[in-house]
Amino acid sequence: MATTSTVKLRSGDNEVFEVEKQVMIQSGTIRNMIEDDAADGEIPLQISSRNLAKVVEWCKCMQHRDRNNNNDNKEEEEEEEEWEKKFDEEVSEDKDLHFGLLLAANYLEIPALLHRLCQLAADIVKGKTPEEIRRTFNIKKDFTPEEEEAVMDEHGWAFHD
Amino acid sequence: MTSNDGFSEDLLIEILSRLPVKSLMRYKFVCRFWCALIKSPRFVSRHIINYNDDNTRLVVEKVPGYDAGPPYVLFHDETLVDLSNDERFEPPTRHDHELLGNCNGLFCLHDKNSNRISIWNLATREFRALPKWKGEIPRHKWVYQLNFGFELDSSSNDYKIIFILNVTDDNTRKDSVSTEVILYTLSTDSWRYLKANELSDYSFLGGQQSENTYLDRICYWIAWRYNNCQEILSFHMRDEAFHVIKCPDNSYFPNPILGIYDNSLHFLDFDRSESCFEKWVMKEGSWTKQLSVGPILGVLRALEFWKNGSFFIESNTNQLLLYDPNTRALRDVGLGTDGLFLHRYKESLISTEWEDWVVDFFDIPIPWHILGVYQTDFDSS
Repeated sequence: MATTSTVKLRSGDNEVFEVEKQVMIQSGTIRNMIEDDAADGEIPLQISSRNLAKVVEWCKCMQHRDRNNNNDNKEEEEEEEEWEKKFDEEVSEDKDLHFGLLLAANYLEIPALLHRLCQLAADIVKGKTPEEIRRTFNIKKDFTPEEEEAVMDEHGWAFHD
Repeated sequence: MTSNDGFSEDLLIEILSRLPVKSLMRYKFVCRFWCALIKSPRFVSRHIINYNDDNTRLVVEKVPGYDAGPPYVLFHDETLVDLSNDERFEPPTRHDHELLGNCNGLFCLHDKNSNRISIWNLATREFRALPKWKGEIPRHKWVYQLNFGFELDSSSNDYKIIFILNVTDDNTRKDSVSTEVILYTLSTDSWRYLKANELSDYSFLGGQQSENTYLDRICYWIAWRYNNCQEILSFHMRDEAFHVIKCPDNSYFPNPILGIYDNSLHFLDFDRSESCFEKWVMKEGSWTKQLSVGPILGVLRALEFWKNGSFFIESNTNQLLLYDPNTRALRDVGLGTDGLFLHRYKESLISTEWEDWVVDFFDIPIPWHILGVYQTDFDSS
């Protein structure tokens, strides 16, 4: 088994984060490395330091919350809720951060974070028109006029409220 | 593939499968890839899971004469405070029909003229008539009770719809009644009979509710024996067999309802002599009393389970009430119950064009079904 209680994560832009293993086992990818004794050196990740810092911060907060789950500390509970609300706002307003974290949570296999980010993304996407969606996701429209007409025939009603 | 900002197909599915059906219909216009993705069986099954119970809404079905509007009304406000935010639906068939129930966004309709059963997706507006059942009920007999259950059998990737028909020519005499069980199987697109001799003792199945009571591949109905003994009948889709469960305390209940909440079977009844509601939950094969609340005055009976343990009640002035045991709040929803049926509804993308996707439709962990109880003259012609 591994000898130290921390794990070192190296970001894509070469910043090293030393984090408690207990915090990072929320990530399936890191947990596997720890279990395989492959986490004693630095773990290089293709994730920017900004996004990795945010992921680590999120994992710490969740671990803290889970540890205190049986405590009936109202003040701490409120603090955590406040932190989560701020996290949601920050992510929702910053597309680069949001998309970067989505890819990071997916790669690191952190289901709770991934679900939260996906729900936030869905909430943002919900009211958009197809044209706005193309801009958000950087997608080119590739229908032929005939195909577009066929889709419109079938689903055109969905544009009426 | 068109750029999706580096998102893999899996990640895109995880995001989009949390959207309402109407948004997804619009997003088929984004590009070819999104259009194909949203139609794919994988996406449809993820949507059933991710677009979760928080998105359950109330649909009411009004019998002809209730009011002048279309017979189906979907209330978008899940708290049922703002009833003006509604959506009205005309049935896809003009014939005289009845709604048997719904599950995972699909409504099951019985056309009384042609005796055809059809499946209707309210959200995508797709509609499909099942092949005609070639019944063998003697001409002079008629079906006075029809119960049914509906599921996706994930072990064989197949749909099954079970119908329990109580057939009679004179329902006051026991020996005039027989029970037929027929099963529709999607893969063969056909009906077949099931032997169910044990059902011949039951005079009446079900109650007033139309909601599915289905958990872990088992359908449940409340049933009455001829000696007035009350039991719960379950049908196990896996081995296609019926089983019997005793009611709580082996007692008789005047107006019980069954429901699934918190992944358990619940049994609720209103005791008129005490004006109390009593609720039991099935845990490890036996009933545990979970709630006894009252007296609550002015109540006729419990109608249907709603969210977070709350349930609908019919008042003795025929008003629809909602009771929340957590806050002990009883609220008038603002609808009359006379001629009104309640349906818990969660929209889905499930296509009624089965052949497109059924073969791949294997990764839904939660099977599903429909259950309903109505009077009908399901004649064999």
